Amino acid sequence: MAPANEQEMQKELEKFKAMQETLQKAYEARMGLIAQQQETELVKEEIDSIEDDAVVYKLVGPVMVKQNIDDAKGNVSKRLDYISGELERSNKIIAEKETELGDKQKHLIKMQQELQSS
Amino acid sequence: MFAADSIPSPQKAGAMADASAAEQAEEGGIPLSQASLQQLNAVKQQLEQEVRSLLNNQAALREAEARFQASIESLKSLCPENNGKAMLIPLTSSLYIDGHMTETKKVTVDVGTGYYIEMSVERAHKFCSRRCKLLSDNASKVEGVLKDKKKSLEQLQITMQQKMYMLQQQQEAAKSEER
Repeated sequence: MAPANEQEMQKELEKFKAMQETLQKAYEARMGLIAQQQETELVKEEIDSIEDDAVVYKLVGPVMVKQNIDDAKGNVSKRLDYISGELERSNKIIAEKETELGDKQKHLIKMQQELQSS
Repeated sequence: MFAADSIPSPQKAGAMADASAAEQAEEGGIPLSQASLQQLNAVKQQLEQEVRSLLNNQAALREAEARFQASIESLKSLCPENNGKAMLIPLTSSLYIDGHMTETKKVTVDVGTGYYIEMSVERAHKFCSRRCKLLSDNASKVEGVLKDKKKSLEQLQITMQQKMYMLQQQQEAAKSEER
């Protein structure tokens, strides 16, 4: 076995592992976004179905601030849009990273085979 | 251990092949009987991890459901007959102060992400029931998935045992030939 190849292999393997880690982090970020999206959707459902004379508060730090219902509705919708946008972005990043990782894996397997046959 | 030693693939390659094998087996790519012990072990670890996290999810869902149930119970004491009655208000889990009911019709409900809505007791009751149902539906969904995962894990373990046995037999046969 040529030691140069061995070293190269080791380097590639490390890169591969780093990529796996970033992908894992991206997955976690997506999970967080999905959780937020679901929670916000539930809030939206509630806020959309309240009577016009209902009182809505928003917790800001330790104080509850009275909110205008229309404002609250708008804010919740805006937040939901924002989260959906972020989620889409995150999905795109993950898809990219996955293909990248797949290519790397194939490359690594090929290198390994070459190493073994030489 | 002998079983691992007998497989003629270096560790590094093994680790990578395992990753892809785990994915493939998950999707039904390669039949269990044709996978190597190392591959099987990787799939097993993955399955165990999934089962663990599903169990955690399920526990969290059940806990949340119990909290909403408790809220429904508390709402029951908010009825017009109780207006003006004396009560004890918990400041901490062990310290209570005197108080009396002044409002038995309206409650403020935390609907999530920091929003609170003032609503009638009746509406609040409905809200809690809805959340309860949602949570228990999710919990049973998780339970279904959990059952499937446990089943495949069992199958995997059986296959692994068979493989181990076969390898052992081969090893013994090889030994007796040497003699």
